[in-house]
Amino acid sequence: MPIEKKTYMLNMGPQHPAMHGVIRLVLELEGERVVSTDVEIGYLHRAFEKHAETETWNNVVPWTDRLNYVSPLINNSGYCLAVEKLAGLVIPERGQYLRVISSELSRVTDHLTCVGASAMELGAFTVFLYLIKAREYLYQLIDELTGARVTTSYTRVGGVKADMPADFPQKVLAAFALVREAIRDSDKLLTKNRIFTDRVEGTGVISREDALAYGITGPFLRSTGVPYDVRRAHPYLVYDRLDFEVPVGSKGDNFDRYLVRMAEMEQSMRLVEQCFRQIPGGKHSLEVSEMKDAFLYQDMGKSGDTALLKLYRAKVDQTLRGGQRGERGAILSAEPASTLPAKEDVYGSIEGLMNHFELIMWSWGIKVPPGEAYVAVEGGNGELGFHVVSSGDDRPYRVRCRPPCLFPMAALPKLLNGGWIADIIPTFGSVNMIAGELDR
Amino acid sequence: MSMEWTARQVEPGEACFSALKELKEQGYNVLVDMTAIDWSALGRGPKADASDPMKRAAPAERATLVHPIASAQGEEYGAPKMPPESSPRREAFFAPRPARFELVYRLARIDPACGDDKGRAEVRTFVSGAQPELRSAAGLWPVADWLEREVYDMFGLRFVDRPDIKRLLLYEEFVGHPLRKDYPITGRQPLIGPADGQRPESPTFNVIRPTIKYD
Repeated sequence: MPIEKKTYMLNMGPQHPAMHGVIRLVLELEGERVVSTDVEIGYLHRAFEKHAETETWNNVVPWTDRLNYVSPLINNSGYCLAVEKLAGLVIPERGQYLRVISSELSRVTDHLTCVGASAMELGAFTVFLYLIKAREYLYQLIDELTGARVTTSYTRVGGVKADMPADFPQKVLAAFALVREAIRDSDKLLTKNRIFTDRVEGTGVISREDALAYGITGPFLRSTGVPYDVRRAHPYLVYDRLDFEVPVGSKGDNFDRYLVRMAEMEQSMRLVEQCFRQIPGGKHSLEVSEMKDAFLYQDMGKSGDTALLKLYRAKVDQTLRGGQRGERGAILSAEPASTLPAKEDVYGSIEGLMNHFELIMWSWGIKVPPGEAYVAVEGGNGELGFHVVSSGDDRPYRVRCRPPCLFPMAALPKLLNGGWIADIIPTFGSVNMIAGELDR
Repeated sequence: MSMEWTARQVEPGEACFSALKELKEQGYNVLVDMTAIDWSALGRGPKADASDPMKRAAPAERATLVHPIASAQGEEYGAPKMPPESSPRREAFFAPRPARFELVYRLARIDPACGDDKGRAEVRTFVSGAQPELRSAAGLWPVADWLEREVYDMFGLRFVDRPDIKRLLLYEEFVGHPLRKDYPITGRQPLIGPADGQRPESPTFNVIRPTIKYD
């Protein structure tokens, strides 16, 4: 009787923990070997692009938080840069530096999550705890900066929502010391650990030609030795004034991707430190004696003391800081038809209040001139592109997000086929699939 | 923003494919993105939604309201979307388009050695969406497979050489194509299967598609 060779099917996910609950792999197995793979995505589809067509230009910003939710600040910047390109707005330098600082903080949290989670999936739970603790230090700082840990919505068309707190640089530098220590500890625990390297070295290999053919960018492409980085190839914001290196790998396997991400975190922290040295100063904090509480301000406006109001500045919550008269010019574009008026004018004068409501009310708001624009920024996973189309209305006609992790996900069968079933876990982990961005 | 694009408009189908092939031979090794735009709602403005209290004003009434900020620039808010003054950019944007859907392919020429972007190109083509008119580019860049599936999923544009194309993000039982402008934002569909709870045996549920072959 001839021996028959049989393969069998295995459904991995979407409930499998390593698939993060949102990806289904249909595997054809021959023993423990993967013969062929099909990837099913879309379990977290939330119609971002359709929703964006119904919201005003600024109201889309909160939706962008939910794309790549481990580095939301990069999405905020990318979307606003695309709208500003279309509207021809140039934001003040301090606002540009604040966007770079927030983006690079986000990049560190993104890589910390990716390395930590994929190490945990290979059994290194300590590393996960160390890195997530380090991420928490940064999340707390992001909370101080934006008012939220994850759903940041920090940027506005024309600038950023609020200036950084006065002691923010010191706090960030102190947190970086702790983050660096956590990265050093994790490096000691993983990089020369045979339990880890045996699983990641030589698995999930992709050649640089294949990576380019699949449109892969970011750390994934750089691990194959192609030093393409949007910040370097097409500098946006103030990246052309900053000094940073683009770490590259050579073999394009999971281990190289791990090393590239570890090296990039250090570069991102260097970028933030340079930004703190270069950021144009002044203006972000005022003497307390010149300020009045916002509610007192409103009362004065209501009782008709509007002449007196001109002498005072409103004291507002940190998450609205920067909206005041003196500080606004440093972080928001001076275009009155697109940026909210100073808080003093809103509380203290009828024209300011009207101007504020006109920009906030539905069917009013900013009107972007008709046209199309595509802007790419370097996201946590690669080139994050926003293609926005305006028909001259108060809301986008179409918003297209180019999700950087869709491209390595499309290449996943190429990475997995021919390998062992155990290699799926590190390979999938190194893609850093973020379903919010993949499925939009 | 230093990204420079060379744009090119071609006929759909074979002409589009040969333009893409030609660009690939010129060294455009990365398909950065591929997407579509439905131009059918252009000039209509946001639909007045009766259920929304913020938009209670009747369309005719709204058309006479003058936006205080826009009025400084002599622009009326409401139905007339073409302002009295005309700029070349505006005129180019509102010029009649040959068909309802526009497809945009974005290509880049990335040097593998130094990582520089040597130039970007976009190829645009118009299709009506009524019958399959496009040719698949998956033989040139394998990732076009997924991007085409998304374009089919969201816009219902079909490809002559991919008769059995499958949705990418939505499920197979979904009816319609949500990024078409005539698909309502409030449209609701059952998430799994038809209303009687019986999921039909799906023909492609457990089928692994062959890996894409490309040059």
